[in-house]
Amino acid sequence: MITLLAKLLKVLNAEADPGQISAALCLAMFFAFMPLMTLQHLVLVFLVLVLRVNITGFILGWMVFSAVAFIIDPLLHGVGMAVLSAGALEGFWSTLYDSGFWRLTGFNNTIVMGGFVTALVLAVPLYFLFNFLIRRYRQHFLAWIQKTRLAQMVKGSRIYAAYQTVSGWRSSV
Amino acid sequence: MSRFIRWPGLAAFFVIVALGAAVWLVMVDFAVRHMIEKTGTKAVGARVEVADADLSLFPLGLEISGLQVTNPNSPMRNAVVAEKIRMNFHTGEIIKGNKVVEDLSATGVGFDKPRKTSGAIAKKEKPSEEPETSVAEKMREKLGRLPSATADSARQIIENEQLETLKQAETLQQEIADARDRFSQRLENLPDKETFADYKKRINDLKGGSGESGGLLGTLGRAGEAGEIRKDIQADLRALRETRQDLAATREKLQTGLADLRAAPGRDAARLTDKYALSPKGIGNMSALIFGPKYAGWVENGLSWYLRLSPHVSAMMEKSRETEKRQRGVGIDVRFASSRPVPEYWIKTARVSADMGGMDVSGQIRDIASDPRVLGRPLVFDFAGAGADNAGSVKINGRLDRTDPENPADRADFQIREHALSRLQLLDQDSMSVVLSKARLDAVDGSIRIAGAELDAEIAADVSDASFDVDPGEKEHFLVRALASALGDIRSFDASATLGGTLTQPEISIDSGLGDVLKASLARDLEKHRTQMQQKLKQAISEKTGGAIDETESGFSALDAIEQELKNRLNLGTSIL
Repeated sequence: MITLLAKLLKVLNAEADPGQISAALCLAMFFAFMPLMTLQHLVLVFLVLVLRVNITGFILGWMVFSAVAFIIDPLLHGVGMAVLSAGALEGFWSTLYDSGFWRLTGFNNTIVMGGFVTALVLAVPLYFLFNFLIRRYRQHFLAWIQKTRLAQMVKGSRIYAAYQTVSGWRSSV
Repeated sequence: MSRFIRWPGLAAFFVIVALGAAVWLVMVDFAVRHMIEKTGTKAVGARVEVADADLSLFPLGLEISGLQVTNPNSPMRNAVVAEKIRMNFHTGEIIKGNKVVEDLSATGVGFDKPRKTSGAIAKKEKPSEEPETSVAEKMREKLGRLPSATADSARQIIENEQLETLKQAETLQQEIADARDRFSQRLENLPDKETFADYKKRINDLKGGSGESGGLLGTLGRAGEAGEIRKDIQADLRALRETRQDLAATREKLQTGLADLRAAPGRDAARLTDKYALSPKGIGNMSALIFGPKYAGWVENGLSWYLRLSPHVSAMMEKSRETEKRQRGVGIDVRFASSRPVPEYWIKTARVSADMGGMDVSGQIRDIASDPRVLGRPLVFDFAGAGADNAGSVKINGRLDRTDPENPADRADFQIREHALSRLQLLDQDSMSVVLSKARLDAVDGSIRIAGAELDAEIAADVSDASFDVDPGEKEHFLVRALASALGDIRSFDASATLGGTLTQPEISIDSGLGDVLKASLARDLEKHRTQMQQKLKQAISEKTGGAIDETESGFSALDAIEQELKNRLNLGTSIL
């Protein structure tokens, strides 16, 4: 059981490049900022599983960004309402509104639209910011954290030993 | 390529999607059933149950089996049951979020069927309120009630009633006492025995002093004084006469009051007879008294369902007007002008087959929509049915027009022909029940219109081959016998009813040839009963009020004493002159 769990962790953490973690976090932001189940969520799950991004990072990011989305809910609603109420786009939205496919995206929901637009605007800057922060973390903080009592306890656990073994298999392959 | 693509992830995606679809397929029927029961129970206010729900994807549809909707006013009966309801959704509109049903068919629909277990739900305790009188009860009150056949005895009646005789006696006693006090006071200020004795003494003094002074001047002086005394005596006698006249007038007035008081028990008896005794006047609208309770019950039942369902239709309309409050994290669905606008909820055609009073009725309802404004068409329904072996027929059609929400206008028309009735309980009072054991409705035509809260309806029926059962209950009464006898001769009659007022305060009126027949038939018996009751009441009232009348009469003795005193004084004064 522990070996199986360790294998899962290994697969999940296989893509540990800063770019892969940052991409996972950005996808998580899209996922969390649109709280209703829409077609986009299915596409995002597809992307997360198929693209080589860090799945642990995605799950962690989803939890964090869900909390953020709850806090900035009025902002997301306001952005969505502003975009959907824009006079210049009215004809465009009306065309989409008549289409069953686009209605599956829930685009006419203020939170879905606001969350999507906000995530779209923040995605590129945050990708580079996360990249920068992960590198800084690995350079300056990782060694220090590994020496902490908590890290020592984790390393002493059976699951970590199994994880190391699995990692060894990977090295031998 | 493999630098960016995680091929096992593709397999994982399909596994996850397949697992999600499998779970959805397993759970969806249960979820739909639960949703129907929960929503229905909340809307009706009593348990709504579904034996099975089956959602199919190709084509997208739902089949509900064994629907039972409890009658909230009678939890051991189902207001509606349906063996099977099948609906096919418009897939494209469902994706767009509009619950559009292309066609719905309901079979095995029945009304007012018994339940095995109670369908009541626990209701929140309301703060103690006055028990509210039901709409039917209010209507029955306005129609009047058939007087109790087990009428109370005369003594019981006067125990519970305020008698005008006693009030009148009390008033008259007070008036007599006031008159006595007033005249006693006047008597004190009038010349009395001493006054006249004084006059007598003065006269004697004049007579005695005639020899002492002598002379012409002395004689003239005494004559002048005697004249003065005479004038005084005459003035006193005038005052006494005026008082006596006033007393006589007052006494006459009071005597008239006493005569009226003596007649008061008769009036009380007549009034109470009108109230308690059965009379042709009291049963003026016999048809309303007999048919009213049943008709009021039907009206109340119909209106309660209309009022119960209307808020939910309105709520759906309100939702479609986007007046809902936004929940955090949910957002608002913005509606855009569509080239093909569709209501959020819309059943295009519902075909219903039902058993109504022994008749197989089938028909269809078109355009059941949450927002008829969008459709621009009202809900219309059209049903027709016939009994077994074509015994009777029924047609019902109408429309619920909410295309202009400010001016809703609903209408239903119905016709029943040659329909056989059996065991229809018309009246159920403690002392008497009337059952229309069998009858044939030759023709019933009705029209019901509801504009906003205003009600307007009329129904006319021709009934033949009728047979009534009158049950006297525990105590048999002459009325029950008379009614049974009168109804026993009636084989056919007509009846008409109107409904007005508002949804919450309906007013009904009923008229029937039956009423005139019954009235004529019962008139002689009722008159005899009324006379007997009036005599008994008069006797009982006289017994109860006799003391008060005697006491009132005795008050006159004080006035008589004053009269006598006035008479004595007048005689005394006159004798001096």
